[in-house]
Amino acid sequence: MNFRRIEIIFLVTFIAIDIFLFGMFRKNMDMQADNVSQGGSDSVIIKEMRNDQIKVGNLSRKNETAFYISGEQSDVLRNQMGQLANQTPQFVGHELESELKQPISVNKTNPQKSINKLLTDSTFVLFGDQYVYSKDLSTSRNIVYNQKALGSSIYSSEAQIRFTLNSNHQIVSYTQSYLQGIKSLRESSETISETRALIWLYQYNEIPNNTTVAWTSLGYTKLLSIDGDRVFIPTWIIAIRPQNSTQVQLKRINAFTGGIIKETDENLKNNPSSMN
Amino acid sequence: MRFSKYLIPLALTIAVVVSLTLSVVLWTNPANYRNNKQQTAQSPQTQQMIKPKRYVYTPVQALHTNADGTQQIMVNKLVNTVTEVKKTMHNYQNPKIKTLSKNSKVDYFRIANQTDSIMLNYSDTVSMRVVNYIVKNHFRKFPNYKINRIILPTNNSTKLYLLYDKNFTVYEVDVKKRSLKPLKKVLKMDMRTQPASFKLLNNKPAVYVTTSVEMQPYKYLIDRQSDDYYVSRLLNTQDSTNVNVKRRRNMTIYGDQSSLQLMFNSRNRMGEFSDFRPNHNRKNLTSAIQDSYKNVTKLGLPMDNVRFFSYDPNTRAIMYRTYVEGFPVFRTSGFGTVSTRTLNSSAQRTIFSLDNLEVPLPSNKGYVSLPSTETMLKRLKDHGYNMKDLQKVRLGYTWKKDTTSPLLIDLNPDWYIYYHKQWRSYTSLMNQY
Repeated sequence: MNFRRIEIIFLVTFIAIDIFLFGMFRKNMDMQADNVSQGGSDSVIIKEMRNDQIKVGNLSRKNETAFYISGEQSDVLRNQMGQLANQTPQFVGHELESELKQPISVNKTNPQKSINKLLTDSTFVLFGDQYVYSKDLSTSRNIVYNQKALGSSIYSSEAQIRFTLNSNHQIVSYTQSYLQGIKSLRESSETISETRALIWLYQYNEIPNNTTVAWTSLGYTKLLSIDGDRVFIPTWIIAIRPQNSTQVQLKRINAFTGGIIKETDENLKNNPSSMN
Repeated sequence: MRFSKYLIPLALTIAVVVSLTLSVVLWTNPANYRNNKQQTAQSPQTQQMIKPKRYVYTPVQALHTNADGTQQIMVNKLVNTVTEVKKTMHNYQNPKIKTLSKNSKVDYFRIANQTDSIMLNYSDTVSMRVVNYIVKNHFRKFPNYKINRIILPTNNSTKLYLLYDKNFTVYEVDVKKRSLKPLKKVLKMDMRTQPASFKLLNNKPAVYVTTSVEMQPYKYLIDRQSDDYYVSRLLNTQDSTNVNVKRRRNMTIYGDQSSLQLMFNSRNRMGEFSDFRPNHNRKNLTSAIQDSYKNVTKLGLPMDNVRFFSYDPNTRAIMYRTYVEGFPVFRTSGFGTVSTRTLNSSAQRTIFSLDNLEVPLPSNKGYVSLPSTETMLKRLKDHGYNMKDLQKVRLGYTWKKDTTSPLLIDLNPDWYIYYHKQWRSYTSLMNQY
């Protein structure tokens, strides 16, 4: 065995040791990065979520400002539906249901482009300029518009227009609900950030493993009803989609307090449990 | 051939050096030996409820003096006016302070009522350390003077003034030239204004409203907290078996064996927490505020819109109130939301409300009109009250239970007067005799 061969064996051994040590070193750096970016230990929890096979996109840490707002359910749609042309409107339970006499063709890929133009026509839809397209809630056959409110929009079936399309990309009918006199109940306050909202939802065990966070949005959702009045609070709406599924599930986090909001539809004054 | 002769020894040397270097780095890195223990995170709810000091210890009123000298209170509508003004105060560079005048009412009011300025008023005297909270620590090197008001000229980019009411002291703060645009932008925001003037009341500076005041009554949904919540938070000793309970009529008293006691009154929905463990028993204003903040945050009460209201140096009691539209809320007893008090070196007491305002509800009641300060004081005087007894006056809201639901509270606007060491409503004073 000559010296040269020994040298080669040593070289190979040391290169192997180097690779191993370098791997250790990299891992170490990651651990330190975790420690440093302890911005409220948020990143640790986000990482934990990713370990649980929950897919999350980039999240904003910005605190927004929002209001408590209220709106009133009224019959204004019924009173003004006489001005609608080329359709047969019906007013059922605070909702205006209307079938078009002639289906209207819309843009195939971006139906909202055509509908946005139509909404400026008050003989087609009442108060159309007060609604905004919601990409998240819309599907190819069902185009959803939410009512606008103080720089954001309301996510509620009580303030919405839903257009139904046929397979030829034509609007055949729509349903509209409208809240009147939307106003702020108090001056604006700071809300929690998107990151916080998602983390708390996770900590409440409301995000199952193997899911994808499809989208999140800060909008107003209904907190309670008092007679005809509706009170809305800023809410982080988080859509969760289980893997291998197309259905999304909506979760709501109160953007002021961080509490989770369960689906309830109680009228404060008619609820016997709060009357004692 | 000659090249490859050296290649292997050279590569071997490099490999050995690299492995040695990496070994040294890895062994000397403390991250390897770090404790892997996770911090126990506070519950989300608690994190949100705890408000920073700059939120709690803040001026509560903004008064604008126009170019022509007329003054108006900037009332919150879509934005909180004080918060907006405070946002412009975050980067004062190279601040220097000097005493401009002392014991001179003329100088004091000349600065206070200067044209083109915004005055921020604290509800009670605070110290420079507390003012420091809202200016992002830029005043940390200043002596710990006592302060009541801050004057921000909107036409002078290098000066601001701090006022202390008791001996009419004016401090001038010089800062590096800054842009006045943000401050002017605040004045253009959507707000209500109320004509006012700043002058003496019983030889103390006070804001008078000069016309009758339109105020909006409110209806609020309350947040009802259970006794258990506070028991588990406050009497959370090593083993909870030590907590004993006594019930007497509408009082429930929880205590651990020795030093902590928690008392609830189910009739007026108030709680009282007494801590008989040794405390620092510090007597100066800054320490009192710092100790009080610790006690309030420990309590875990929702602090939304709760602000520092008053400090009584004799009893060392600090009162906090919930503010609505920029006006404080008073209960019939004169109580606010939470108060803390240090009695001696082995007793501290925190009194708090179990019901707190949470969500404002639409109210179809119209605005209520209240008389101007002068008119109100004159009526009280005509009613037989001695003007000297009317120490301080505030516009505020009266907390009243709603008749339709126990979860609702009505807030009715009223004048509040500090009369015989107690906050009394104008209505109750007028109805007394």
